[in-house]
Amino acid sequence: MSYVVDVEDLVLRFYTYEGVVKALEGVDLKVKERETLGVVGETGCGKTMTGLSILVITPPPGKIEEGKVLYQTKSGKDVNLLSLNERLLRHIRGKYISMIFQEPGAALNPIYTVEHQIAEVLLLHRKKELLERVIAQIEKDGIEKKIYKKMLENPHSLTTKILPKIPIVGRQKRLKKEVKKEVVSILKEMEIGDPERVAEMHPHELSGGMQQRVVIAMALACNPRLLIADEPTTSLDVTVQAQILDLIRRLKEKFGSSVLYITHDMGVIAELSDRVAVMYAGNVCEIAEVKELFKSPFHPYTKALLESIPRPGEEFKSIRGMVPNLIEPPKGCRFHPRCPFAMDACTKEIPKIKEVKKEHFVACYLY
Amino acid sequence: MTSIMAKLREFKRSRQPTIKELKFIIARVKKSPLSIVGLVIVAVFAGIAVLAPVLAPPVPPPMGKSDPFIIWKDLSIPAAERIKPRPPSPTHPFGTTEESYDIYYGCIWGTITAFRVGLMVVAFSLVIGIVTGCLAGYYGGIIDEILMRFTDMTLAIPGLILAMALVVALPTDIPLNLGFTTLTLSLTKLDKVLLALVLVGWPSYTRVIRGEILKVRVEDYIEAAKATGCSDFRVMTRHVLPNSIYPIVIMGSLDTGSIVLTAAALSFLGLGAPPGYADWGQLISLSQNYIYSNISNPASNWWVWLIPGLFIFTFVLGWNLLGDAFRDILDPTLRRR
Repeated sequence: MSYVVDVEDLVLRFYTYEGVVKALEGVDLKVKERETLGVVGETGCGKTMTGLSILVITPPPGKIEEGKVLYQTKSGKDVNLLSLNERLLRHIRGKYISMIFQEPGAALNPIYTVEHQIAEVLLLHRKKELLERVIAQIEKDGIEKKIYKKMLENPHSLTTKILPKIPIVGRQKRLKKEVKKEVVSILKEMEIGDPERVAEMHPHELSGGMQQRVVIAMALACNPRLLIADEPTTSLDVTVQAQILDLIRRLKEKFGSSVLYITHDMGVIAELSDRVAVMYAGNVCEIAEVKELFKSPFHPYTKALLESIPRPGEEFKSIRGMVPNLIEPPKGCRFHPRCPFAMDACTKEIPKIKEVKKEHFVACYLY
Repeated sequence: MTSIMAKLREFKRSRQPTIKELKFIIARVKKSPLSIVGLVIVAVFAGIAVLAPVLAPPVPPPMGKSDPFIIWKDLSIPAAERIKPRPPSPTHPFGTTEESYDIYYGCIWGTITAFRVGLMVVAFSLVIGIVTGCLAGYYGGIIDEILMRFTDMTLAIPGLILAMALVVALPTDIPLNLGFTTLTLSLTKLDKVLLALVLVGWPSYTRVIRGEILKVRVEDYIEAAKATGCSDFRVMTRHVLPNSIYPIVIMGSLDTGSIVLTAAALSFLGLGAPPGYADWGQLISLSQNYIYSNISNPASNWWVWLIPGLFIFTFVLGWNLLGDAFRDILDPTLRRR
């Protein structure tokens, strides 16, 4: 089956003063076309870093040491994003792969209006399309049409960037109007009640749910093939959470995008995803279809994680031991100090992830 | 008629965010009367500077000079009496200094000098500070290290002393070798003061803006901007800088006053503008010997220091209050909640 992004043996390390933080150690996962892959795990297990690595954004002092991030183009060609140069990556970021962040309030620039921020994405990636629409509108073969045609020839050249800055001459009224129209229609798509008014607001004038809708609007402005959602509902209250989840699901169907949904909430995972990847301390330990995973988990960590979901009337269970320190992680399988089934082999080498049942991958020596 | 009205309404609607912003600024400024005082003071000084040729028309030679910035000397006073400052009189509203320079003329034309020194030094320092601060803050690493140690070095030496040393050390002609031809940059004495103050002033801006950038750089919206495909330059100029520039704009406004103070000090020490040049520090310096000449009545020659001193004082005060106004208007942390 065709996939959108295939992460292979990804190793990400942070070179800090205290030592080398081995944040990701051989992460392996595949996002298939039009599916929602949920990524679960505790705080600090590398979920967000996996998401950022797919976009090849590594916050300093982080460094991707090994591995591949393969992106499959629509024509079926594989591209290793890690070997692309910055220019090409910028072309992919936001257009083909985009990301929603955890804190909607922090992910929006406080000094710009909503319209300005969505317009920025549009003009970065869809300027050509917008210019074509503008040209189609102009009936007269005048100087205005000529200017827009000239801009269309090279939408990202220096002159087309500087021209709009010149007062009176470079007003580009039609382009601005077209951009605004597009922004409003995108906002409407996000089920925002009064898109014209919201477009003119600054982020701090909006509620958390509205802010998250705007962030989603920015991420989906260019119909990306993969949407990385990094705990988009964690900071929202439960009713808004449900609305946002519905929205993501609906938009995913509509645009035919794949979603990589990062969360620590098992409930959300069960609700939204087709397949689930469980991560622990920088490793993927289990990948399976969502029903299969909840019904018959293989990896001891997955089992423990599912048992620790609080249920009414039952005693609260937790996983014994502590999350390992990633500067000096345990040798071998990183879960072995907390694992009730640990064997000798577990302490020696990190288990490779392998297909145990059809479409069910586990990294454990028990299987 | 109605179509014009409709167009006007349409225009007003399209400008809604700008109008909202302006209303907000006015509301904020109204809340702090002191910032209005600052605004008025600076506006009055700006008016004086613009109207200088009307308020104090240049006096033709031989009393004046062809350069209007040279204060005219009253040669009608007998040569033997010119040495002593004269109190205010109808011909000299603010009196004269030693050697019979007219204080009124000096004060009015000195306003232009003050604006020129203050604004130019701050503008150049801001530009250098922003560029170096951005480089240091955004890229970090070795660039940051080199630039910061350099600012440390500059900041370790007292500003006034360093400026003095620079004024003395700077050559009058700086040859610029462009390869095919050599340009000579000639500096007047005032240019040297400007240059020296810029060289002393920029490191503090660099430091402040670097700190702000380090703070803003790790914000989520910067990462989000990168994730939407913005280039480094775009992230820097559109997202990082606009969020970190406010403190140094305020600092610049406060500095415009204090730079004039430093320039006055340099002039007073005889290192600033050439003798007779319209400059407030110079005016006080011109009658140095009479500031405290009469032991029994120390205020006997009050006009020689009080009047130019008042000009300096009010100018600095005005910019300081205006700095507060800028903070009220610009600082995003104080914005409407």
